[in-house]
Amino acid sequence: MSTAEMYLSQSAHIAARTLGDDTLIMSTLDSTIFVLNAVGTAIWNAADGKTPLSQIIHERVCSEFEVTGEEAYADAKEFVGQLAEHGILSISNAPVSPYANPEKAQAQASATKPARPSESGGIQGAEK
Amino acid sequence: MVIDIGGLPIEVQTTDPEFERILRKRYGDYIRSAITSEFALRVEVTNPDVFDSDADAEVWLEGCEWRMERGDFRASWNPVERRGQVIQSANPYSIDSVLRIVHTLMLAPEGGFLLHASSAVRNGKAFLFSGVSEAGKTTMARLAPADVALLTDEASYVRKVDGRYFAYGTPFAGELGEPGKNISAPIAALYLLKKAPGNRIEEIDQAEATQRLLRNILFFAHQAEMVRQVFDAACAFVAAVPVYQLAFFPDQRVWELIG
Repeated sequence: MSTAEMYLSQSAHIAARTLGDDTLIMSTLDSTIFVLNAVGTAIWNAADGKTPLSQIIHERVCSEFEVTGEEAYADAKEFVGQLAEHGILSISNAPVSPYANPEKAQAQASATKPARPSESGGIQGAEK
Repeated sequence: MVIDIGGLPIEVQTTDPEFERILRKRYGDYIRSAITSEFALRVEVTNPDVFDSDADAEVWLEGCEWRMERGDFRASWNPVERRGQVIQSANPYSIDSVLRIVHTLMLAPEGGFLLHASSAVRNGKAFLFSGVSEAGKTTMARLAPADVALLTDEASYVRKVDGRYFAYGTPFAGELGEPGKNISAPIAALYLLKKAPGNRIEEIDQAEATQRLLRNILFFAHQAEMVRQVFDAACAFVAAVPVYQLAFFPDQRVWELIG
């Protein structure tokens, strides 16, 4: 397990809905759609910017699902890395203040920026 | 003249008699003469040489007004004033695209959408058949028996009215090349199409249904608030309307499963 802690924060540039055990997340920046399974949903729901990933894995994943800590942590790092690449969540090495969310200000500032449409129609993107 | 699609009539204003003739031919049963409209599009017909025919379509928000451009038109839409302008040559394709975009902009705040789907009414209930290109939308329309009224083979019009979802006929035709009937009915089911050796209706979970629905919603303005509205609309639709996968072999027997 890595010694550097990771703190996860949900992006302001998303729309999300939990449907059954899964969570559907769509980026409002590029309309990419992700479907998180039950484990992904547990991590997503705990991504509050102040709980380290190792604690999330211990309390929300290993206790609920039949996986070992190391295995779950390795999978989770890959998983959150993919989400971060698409701007679905951000990763920091220190807790993030709940009162400081520069993404929200950025989201509002970019709300009127021209965007290329999908001429063929459809909210499209890479589905996970 | 007023073009009434989805119960949201838009007055299309033009002083060009040739363009008016084109509109009457293109929109036929969707033209209403005896009603007024809160929505209006003023069309300025101009020389096609002023456009860059290679330019892709773009839709964006400028202040409180939507702007849309493609190689063959420039247009604006003010959702507050419910007025817009179009600059295009005298052809039916440009205004058709503008109408599709404007309707998506009008529908999103009320939880409706245009969907890549054929749709039809049978026994007073509407059924939608959605999928990507070549999935079988037009095939389902072609195979429809005589007791089925086609709403469209290309772009289905979905509105939420008093908490219920309705499908409306549209003039937006696909390979069939014919406008749908200008009628509406409550939606009984959405079928996501998949070609197969036989016919069967398969259950799918809500997350997959919503994801596949989102992939087929026509949406041109990728502005954050609009994207959220479409996302919410898709989630609400799937929560309210049965969504199945329809694995089908392209012959008339598939309609034995519908209605």
